[in-house]
Amino acid sequence: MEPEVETVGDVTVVTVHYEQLDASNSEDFRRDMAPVLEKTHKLVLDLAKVEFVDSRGCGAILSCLKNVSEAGGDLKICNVARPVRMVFELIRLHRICEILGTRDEAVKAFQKRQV
Amino acid sequence: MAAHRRAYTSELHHLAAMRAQVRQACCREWGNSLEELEAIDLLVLAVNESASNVIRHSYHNEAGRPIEVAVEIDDETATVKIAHEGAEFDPDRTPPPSFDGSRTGGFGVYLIRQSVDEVDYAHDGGRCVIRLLKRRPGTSRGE
Repeated sequence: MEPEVETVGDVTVVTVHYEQLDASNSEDFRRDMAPVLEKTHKLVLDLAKVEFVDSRGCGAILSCLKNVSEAGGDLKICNVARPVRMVFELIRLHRICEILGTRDEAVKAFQKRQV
Repeated sequence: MAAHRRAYTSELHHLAAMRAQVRQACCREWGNSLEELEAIDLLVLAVNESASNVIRHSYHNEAGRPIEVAVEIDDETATVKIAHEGAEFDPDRTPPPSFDGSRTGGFGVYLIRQSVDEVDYAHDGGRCVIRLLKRRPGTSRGE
């Protein structure tokens, strides 16, 4: 199954399709994201479908952040379920990556930054 | 005290079943307040990280090796023991995590320590056993 990729202006929104992003599929996710990351440096990850994330899943997301940051871009995350947010807060991801409530808010956050 | 014991083999795709086993056992015995659900989420995370470490580091991703997950729950605590026959894992040899985004790994042991009230690593009859204890919120021994 491929991730759902949508382009809004110059922002790429990826809906992560794994309900549980863990050590068993984090490498698949990294592979899924490789072609997307070649084409964009303004990325939104929509985690509406993700119910659980572990350290390896976080690592895969951090890899996306690192990739876009090195290209001069940024990553924003939206639609984060409570247990997933809990893990992000433990590894302090929310301090280095903006987490927004909805996909629209995440896309608009890029636009605000340009003003 | 309720006890739930289940045998698995050392493939990462079993992590989901291990998480479900612990979650279901805890939810049957404890309530469903937000605090209790968060405590269960944290215990499940610690079980996941511990079992993932066993598969990747103790068994070096070799498939078909035994892992047993045993859950014991009473009104005040939930204890999970993860037993395996792989190499002993020394959590003190893992470097501290980096929180600035410069490294994408190294969070597992940190997450285990942050998620449970007690964690220890022991031997039992030739097996390595990781014991994770989580106190139920709102009890005399919990938060």
